[in-house]
Amino acid sequence: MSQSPKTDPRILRLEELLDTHGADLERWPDAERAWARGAAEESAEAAALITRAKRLDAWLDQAPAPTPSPALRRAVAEIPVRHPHASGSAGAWFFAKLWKAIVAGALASALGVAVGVATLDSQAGSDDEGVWSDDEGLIFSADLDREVVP
Amino acid sequence: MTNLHDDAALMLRIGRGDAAAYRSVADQHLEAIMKYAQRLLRSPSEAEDVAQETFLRLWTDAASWTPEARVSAWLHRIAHNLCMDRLRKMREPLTDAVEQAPSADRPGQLFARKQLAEQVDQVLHALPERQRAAITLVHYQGMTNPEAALVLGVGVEAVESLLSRARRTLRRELAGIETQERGSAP
Repeated sequence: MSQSPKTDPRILRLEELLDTHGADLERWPDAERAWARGAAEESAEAAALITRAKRLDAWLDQAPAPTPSPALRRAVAEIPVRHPHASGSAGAWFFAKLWKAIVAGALASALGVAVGVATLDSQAGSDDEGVWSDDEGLIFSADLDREVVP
Repeated sequence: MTNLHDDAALMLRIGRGDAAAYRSVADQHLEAIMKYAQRLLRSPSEAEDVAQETFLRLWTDAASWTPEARVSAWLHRIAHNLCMDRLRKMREPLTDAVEQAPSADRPGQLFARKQLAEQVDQVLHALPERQRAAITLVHYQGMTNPEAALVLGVGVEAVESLLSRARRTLRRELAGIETQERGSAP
């Protein structure tokens, strides 16, 4: 006993695929396109579903398709004139990029120097801790006093 | 249709301020963007504003384009977002007349064709915005489902669901119109 078209899983699947991908089988995924063609050859109901989907596409094609007005074409073409790039031209763009690279390099160098100096300072500080003492500070001050006061 | 390699070369030039490269891309995509905006907004003047804004973004933001998608999809995404912003602000049916190309048809044929075009336009416009955007991108703009997903900022499965629901509604509406026409035929 054959199934009614309403419950035939092949027909239901074809209907679902037609709703998802449209009537143009050329635009379907390869495997599903081959399957749909096979179904249409074997079943009048399947072929009728494809015809119905094509009728919908043809109907949709009747919708008005506006074309851009000459004024819009002109306005769009003039955008580069009305809104010049900040860089102005390809040459300026290159120099802008070069300038950015130089600034970035200088900043990186400055950061490197700052980090280096900070590291040296902290190392010097930790070295001094081993030899510096309050007494030495006092001795150093006393020596100064001796030189100033004859 | 351009490939990603051509797109990348042109977008690099536009990013550097090359107006000739900009005009080449604008010439290629203006009509499609205008049609997309018109189908979403149903107003020629609003659609023209969106098209202008989209191409201004092409000129000023070309450097933000990445070669994950064709320029066409990138421009459609910009236009789509602009249209959605406008639709959110309007939320009311627009009354601008739809532009029609001049036709050589006889008056009777012209009337029938215009009537049919208006019917389709009305049915399309009655669809929820996201369904209308999905069917427009795929049916009218010729995009694949994954490309439409990129434009709409959703997954492919979500686009397929939107398309499915849109086509079911359209089919139902079409059947209703056909039944009406058969009933009114002499």
